[in-house]
Amino acid sequence: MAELTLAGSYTVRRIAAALIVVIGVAAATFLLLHAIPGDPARQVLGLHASAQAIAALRHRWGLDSSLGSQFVRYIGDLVTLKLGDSFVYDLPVTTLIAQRIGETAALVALATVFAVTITLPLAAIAASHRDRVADHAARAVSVVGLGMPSFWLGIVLIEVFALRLRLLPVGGVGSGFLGGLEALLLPSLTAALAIVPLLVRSLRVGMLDVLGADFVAAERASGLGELRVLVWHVARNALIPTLTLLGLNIAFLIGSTVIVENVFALNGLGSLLVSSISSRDFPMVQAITLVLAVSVVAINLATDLAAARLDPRVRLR
Amino acid sequence: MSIEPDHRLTRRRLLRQGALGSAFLAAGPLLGSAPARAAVARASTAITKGGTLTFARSVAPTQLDPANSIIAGDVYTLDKIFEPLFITSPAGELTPWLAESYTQSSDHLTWTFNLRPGVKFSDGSALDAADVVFSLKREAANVDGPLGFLDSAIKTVKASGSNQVVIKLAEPWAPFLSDISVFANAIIPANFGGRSEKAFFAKPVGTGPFVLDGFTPDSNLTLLPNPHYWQPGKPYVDRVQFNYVADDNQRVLQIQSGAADIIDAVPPANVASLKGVSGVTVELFPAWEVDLLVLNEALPYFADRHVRRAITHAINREALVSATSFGTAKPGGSFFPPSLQYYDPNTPVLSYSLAAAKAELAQSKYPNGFATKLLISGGVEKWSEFAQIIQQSLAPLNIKVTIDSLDHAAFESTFQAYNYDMFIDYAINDISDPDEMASFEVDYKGSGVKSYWSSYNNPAAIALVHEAQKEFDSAKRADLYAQIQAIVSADAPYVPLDYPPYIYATGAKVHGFAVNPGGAYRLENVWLS
Amino acid sequence: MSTAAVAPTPRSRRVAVRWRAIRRYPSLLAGLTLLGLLVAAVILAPLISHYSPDHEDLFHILAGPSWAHPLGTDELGRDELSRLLWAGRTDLRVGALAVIFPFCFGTAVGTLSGYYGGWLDSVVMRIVDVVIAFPFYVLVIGLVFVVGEGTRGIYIAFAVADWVVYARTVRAGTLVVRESEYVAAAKVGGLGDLRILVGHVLPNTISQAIVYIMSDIVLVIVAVVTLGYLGLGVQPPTPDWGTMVNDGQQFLTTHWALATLPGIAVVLTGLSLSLVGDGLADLLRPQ
Repeated sequence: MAELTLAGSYTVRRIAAALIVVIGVAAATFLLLHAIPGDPARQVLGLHASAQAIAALRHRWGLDSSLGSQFVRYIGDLVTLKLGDSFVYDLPVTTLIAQRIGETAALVALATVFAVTITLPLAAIAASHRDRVADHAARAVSVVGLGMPSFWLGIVLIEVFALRLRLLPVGGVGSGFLGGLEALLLPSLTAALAIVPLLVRSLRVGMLDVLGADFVAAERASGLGELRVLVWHVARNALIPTLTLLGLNIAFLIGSTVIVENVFALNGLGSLLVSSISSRDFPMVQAITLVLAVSVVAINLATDLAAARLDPRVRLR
Repeated sequence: MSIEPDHRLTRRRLLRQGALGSAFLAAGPLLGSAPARAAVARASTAITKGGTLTFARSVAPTQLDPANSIIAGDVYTLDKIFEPLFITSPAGELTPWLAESYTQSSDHLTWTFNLRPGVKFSDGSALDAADVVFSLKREAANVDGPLGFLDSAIKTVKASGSNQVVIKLAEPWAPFLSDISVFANAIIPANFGGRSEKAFFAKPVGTGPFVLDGFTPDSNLTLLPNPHYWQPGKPYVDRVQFNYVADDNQRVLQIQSGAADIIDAVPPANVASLKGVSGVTVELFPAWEVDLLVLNEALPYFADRHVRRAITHAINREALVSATSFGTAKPGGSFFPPSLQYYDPNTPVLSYSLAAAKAELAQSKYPNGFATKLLISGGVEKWSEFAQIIQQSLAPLNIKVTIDSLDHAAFESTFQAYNYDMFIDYAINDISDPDEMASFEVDYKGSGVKSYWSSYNNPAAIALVHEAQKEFDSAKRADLYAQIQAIVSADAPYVPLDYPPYIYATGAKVHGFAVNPGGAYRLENVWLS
Repeated sequence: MSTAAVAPTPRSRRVAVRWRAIRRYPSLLAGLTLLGLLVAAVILAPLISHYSPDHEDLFHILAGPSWAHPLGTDELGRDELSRLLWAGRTDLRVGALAVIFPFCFGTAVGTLSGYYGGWLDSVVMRIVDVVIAFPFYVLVIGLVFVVGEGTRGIYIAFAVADWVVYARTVRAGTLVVRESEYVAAAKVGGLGDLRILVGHVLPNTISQAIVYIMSDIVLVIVAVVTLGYLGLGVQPPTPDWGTMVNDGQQFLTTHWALATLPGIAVVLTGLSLSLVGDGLADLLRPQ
């Protein structure tokens, strides 16, 4: 009984915390946007707009009231899920986001798959051959992705696989399901390679910790093959840190879509975010930032709850 | 890659007219001394109809109202749907379009336009004078809009019968026909064809070769042929797909792989290698565009003419062009680009000479140099390269330049507030008449922006600009603009750095594509083999 | 030898272990060597190459390797080797400086938060979550717009965004150490909180943070590179690997060395730092 209540209250606490974080992100976005120089009305109306025209547009957008009252209105709108209209397109931001969220979601999902697929074997090799050549090699290989900016890596991959070998499209979204998938292969790989080094290092440490544990030594002593030990025990016990790690790095991954989408001409939230920032489209930037933040929070919540389910000690945190 | 929208092809709207006036030569459009480049004719093969034209562009449309559009993405999209009375051909000539002919009174105050018969809107309704009246009045009334001032010469617009429009000007105005040709004066149905303004522009109806099919903001836009288009047999293609591709390398890769049929804004560094790719043609179209280094004369050291002349002498424009444009651009001289009407190739230019620069500086009030800041828009490679070259060029004069690279929005609001020492940007002429550039950069009051934000105020030059606006004799007008160019060159309020072309690349199956010097391209002549 | 909470090791033993260990950990040695070479190269830049990194030669741009220019020239005719080395100065400096505040602040906050728990911990963790959830580049771009471009904007942006990982890591370690018998004994022995924190808690938790610094420096450099891609990086003409990669982008298909060499420099730096990091992690892991 006590166990169940503890589990329930943990969940409730985590969800409450998640909500607070979302509101925190909304507030931070608001403050940040209003601190940036450059007038959105002037941006939209162009160089020759008269002072009256600019003032009228600012009034229409509510930019002429005090910061405090703007903020109150903003939070109020948020709670009722009114996200506003884009300054640039004069369309509801939800329409524009709905058009593009699928692409970003697919990119992140595929990138995660790639990241996990590449990380697991590298980390396993590194952990099971600790301090030998294979360990260093595996880690060195993974570091390459760390230092390469994704836009550079992206162009190189396009040059090799799309232009020279003609295996994949150079960019754009592709048509149909298979075409779309094909168009996402290189971008997802590019995004994944950026986080692989961190994942490999952390997972390797996690695996080493488990490998050094008593019960594993006992298993080894009992004669089980190294591979079996690795797969069965290490994988199971390393699952928790992997999940937590993935949760942490999803934020970074989602953030990196900003660059990858531009390089590969994908119509996702990342590229829209970049153009919205530069055109000072406040409602658009606020809405997309929230969507991305909520995704991160939701994914972290899910991994935390999953980890808590697997390991009761986690709930003490 | 740049995060600014339309960073290279942002339109710069010019002009605010004070007193206007002069008759435009009745003899029809004028070329002036500039050689014009006609559209390249490919080896002639029979025209095949059909196909989808995929056009990857560095600009994205946001909305399609001619009266409220300013950015390249909007302008170069809506001009496929709406057409004005006159257009500018790829050779830079004013060409009758929806107006078949016109006459003007001897005092140049009354202009009568005869509409082309048989023109229909895409909904099948016929074009008549009422539509022209509605469109021009709407644009002229839109004084708060980006280009409302272009029509400030217009006093009344009236229909005279269903095929004739009579426009009375407040004063004689030489560039009038050019102004009429600007995209903002395109013709839309009277009263939006009975719909609300918002509904109309969501599904626009125009006389142009194409109609809007689909629009995904910040991604792509598709056009389908206008079934009622007045030019028989055109457009040739079945569909136009505009894709927004911001990343330069991605665009270049798309034309190489054939994913795109046409790309715009080819980076000069890629021109040579693209030319070597079989099936890809790189075309350089002369542009009415000049890159300028602008000096703020509100500051004491730039108010000093000797300082400005010294700076001009110190910059090696040949070297700058050689290093940054890979043979595509020409070094700057006159503030008019060579392809613009009344450009004077004999304008005395302050040529590169460190000795002359030092001599000028010695005569100034600041012989020992000074420290100053150069403001540029970040994210555009070219400006950064220019800035670094200028920084090095002025160092021998003891003029210590610090580069201030801001994001585009901040850059614009900074120089527009006159809050700069020097800045780099470009000036364009949208129409065939050079008065746009002349007024914008020389007319301190009339430009509304203190002579391209430079605060350059030379009464002699301003008087010449006003006189040229009234002058109808072509030879006299040429002489006036020659004088203006000479004065500006000697005063050096800004340094014309170079004249960049519009660089496009097309695939092997594209024929009939051409860009006019204002940057616009008509797609009804394009066919795919 | 327990698998649960790890007992903190007394100070003297750790020092002795370290001296012997550095020689025993090849990755640490390799990393330090490579890092040392890189740092030496950039410090000795003026001696290695006699060109100023700003010196332009507009009629000899994009030249290939030659006796005069071992790595050729860039798009404005500047000596590539010289620019690489001087850029290294900028980047290593920016990388090292940018992580100082996050490291100190994050470690401090994480320690206090983990040790005292309660409402302080809840508040801090929520702030950490907000910063982590905030899309990193939006935060950095926004802050750079607000405080101005150039290195100052980068430092501030990282100060705001980067401390959270240290906080989280150190806090996790603190939570474990807090429960140990060692700390309990110290408390019973009447030691003040500050002494406990500095003398007993911190030495056992800081190793994770130190290891992370290594990756963090590379992340800073890569972020600066990406900011350059967006046009918001280090102000010209100051060379930095990021703007060099960005400037070289337009020549990716024609003179690929311009964008690749600085990229390789970043990778080598990353490699050396991560070798050091791995070595430190192995070294400092309680035996």
